[in-house]
Amino acid sequence: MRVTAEDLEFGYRRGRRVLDGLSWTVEPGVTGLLGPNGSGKTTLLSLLVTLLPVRSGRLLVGDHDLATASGRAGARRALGFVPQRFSLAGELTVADTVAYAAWAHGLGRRECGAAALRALDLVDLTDLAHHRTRTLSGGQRQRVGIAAALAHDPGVLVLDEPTAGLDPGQRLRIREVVARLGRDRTVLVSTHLIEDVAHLCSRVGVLAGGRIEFHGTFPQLEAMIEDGSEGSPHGSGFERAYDRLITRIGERA
Amino acid sequence: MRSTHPRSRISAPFWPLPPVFALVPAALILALTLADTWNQLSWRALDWVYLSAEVGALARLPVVVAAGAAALAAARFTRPGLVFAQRWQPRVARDVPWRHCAVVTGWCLAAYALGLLPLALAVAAHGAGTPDPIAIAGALAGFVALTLFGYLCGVVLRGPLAVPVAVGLVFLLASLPLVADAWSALSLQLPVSPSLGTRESTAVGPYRLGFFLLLAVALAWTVAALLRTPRRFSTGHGLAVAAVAVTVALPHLRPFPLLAYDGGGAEVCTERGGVRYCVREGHEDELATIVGLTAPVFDAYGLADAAPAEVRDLSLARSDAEVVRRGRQGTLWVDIPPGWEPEQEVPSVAAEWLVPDVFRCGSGGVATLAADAPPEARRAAVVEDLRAWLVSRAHGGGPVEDGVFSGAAPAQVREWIRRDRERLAACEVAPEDLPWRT
Repeated sequence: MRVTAEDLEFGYRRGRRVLDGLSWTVEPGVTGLLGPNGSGKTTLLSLLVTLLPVRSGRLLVGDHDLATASGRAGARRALGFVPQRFSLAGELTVADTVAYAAWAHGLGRRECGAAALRALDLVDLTDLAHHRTRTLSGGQRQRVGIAAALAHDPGVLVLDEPTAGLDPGQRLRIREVVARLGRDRTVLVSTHLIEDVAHLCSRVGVLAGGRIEFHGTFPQLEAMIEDGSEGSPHGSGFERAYDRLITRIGERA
Repeated sequence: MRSTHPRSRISAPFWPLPPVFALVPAALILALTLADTWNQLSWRALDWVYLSAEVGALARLPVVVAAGAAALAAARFTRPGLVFAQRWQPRVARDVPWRHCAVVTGWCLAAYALGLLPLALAVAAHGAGTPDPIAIAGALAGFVALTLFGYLCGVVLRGPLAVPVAVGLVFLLASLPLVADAWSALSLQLPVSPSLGTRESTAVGPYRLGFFLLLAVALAWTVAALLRTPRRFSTGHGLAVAAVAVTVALPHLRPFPLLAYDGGGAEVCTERGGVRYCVREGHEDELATIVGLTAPVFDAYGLADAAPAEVRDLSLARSDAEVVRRGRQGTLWVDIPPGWEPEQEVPSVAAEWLVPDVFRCGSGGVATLAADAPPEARRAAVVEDLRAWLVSRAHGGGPVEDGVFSGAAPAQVREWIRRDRERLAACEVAPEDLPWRT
């Protein structure tokens, strides 16, 4: 299932236009969405998960046109979304949390237990199924969030900063999970972390000035990064070069 | 894939809430209701009309618990940050609140009904009359609507304040009829519960039922609108809210009569000492008691023409006018409410019929035998003591130890009453005038 944006525009009331004729197709596999702060990443994700209405242009999730009510309803069933910040109800177990999410996504109550099992298996959390969520570590909580988004078996999974705030070991586990998920579905990862993109994404889109200013593979993006950038005590040469690239793309926009 | 199945701990009757969210309030409601009704199980003269009204009156505290539980469920499980309460998830706006409310309301209502069951069985075994389905339906609709109100508080506040706010507001709403009658049509109960012989007026029951159904619809609509993305308030929703506002205003603009006579019923009568005694069918168990507690009072007074022509069960009355008219024609009305205690009430009513009110003595209600007291107060004491003496005749008539009738023989008293009848009626008898005190 692919996600297609055609000439998508969006602006908040009395504000500048955040998305300005954005056109982009996200194919199956893991795609990274990069962009400087304020570039419109959150707005694009909000439109995609139907939190904001599509007023101008087209946005399709598979065949579901998000400009229509039936399209939004279809897209909601076809999408799984893990926001950057989410909370868990501490009194519920991991299995109950994922089963509840499956039900909230539209599955019948009787299907939810099996759906939770499948989702927990995908994120390697079956062993913690009966633990209360208040006992989990940050990385485990993130995986519960992903399992909750997966429980209804969506064709498109959207992750907003999935590794933010995690230690390196937990980050690695999340990347492994996301890479596995990308084998048979469309995964869009919005992130600031170039390492996530480098290790996860088969394609990358860079959003700047309300448009996708770069779309290609990570090696293509890497090729644009200036050689010879020197590191500093505060970051690697690669990070500094990436930062300049993003800035340059933004200025070009 | 592993074969072990992580079965949900949440079974169908609670889904999707943890059982504790339903079981704790249900247990509390059951305990409250049983505690509230336990002493009524041994009450005399229970009847279905009373029980039908009590379904609403007894719900005052249980509905507060249910509303608090609903607020807690909403506050804990509809916060937008929760991974399973994201606004774009298809079930969040409608199925989730519907299911939460169904679980909380269902368990709380079931516990409430279970708590009422012993009382209902007691009424079924001995009670008179027939249930009032409109009053019961109105009370249950009110229970549901006020629980939904609690849920709305949880959806709006979504924090620790939700529960105390919901509990406080619902307690206030449930208590409004105790402040002003106009709220009775909009609340769970009347200021006074009707019993056999009366009923809720024709307007109040259906009005209350309609109001609570309308309120429940408007609240459900509001909850769904608040949880929907984007938030959308439809015309239908606006109309429902406006209809609730109009329905709240109407009883204040044009107050309803709250109670009405039910038109009487078949009577069961007997006669003793020239007095006819009649009770309503269903109260026949009380007839012998009434006769046994009033006839000795009339006998002790001694003047056959002073006794009423008829002692009549108030539940036989058809109108206020009939009560007044028959009262003038020599009918002594006796109220037989559920839980009545006839041993004191009935002889007192009989004595009041025979002896003038102390206020007639001109002492402003003061009655005392003190030697330095005004003469009016001393004469009032004679009247008051005569009443007490007459009441004592209903319970075997042992010697009275206190007051001006201590040591008086019944025959002496009867003779004095016969002789001083007119002075007694005018409250002109001083303690010194009593023959056994001279």
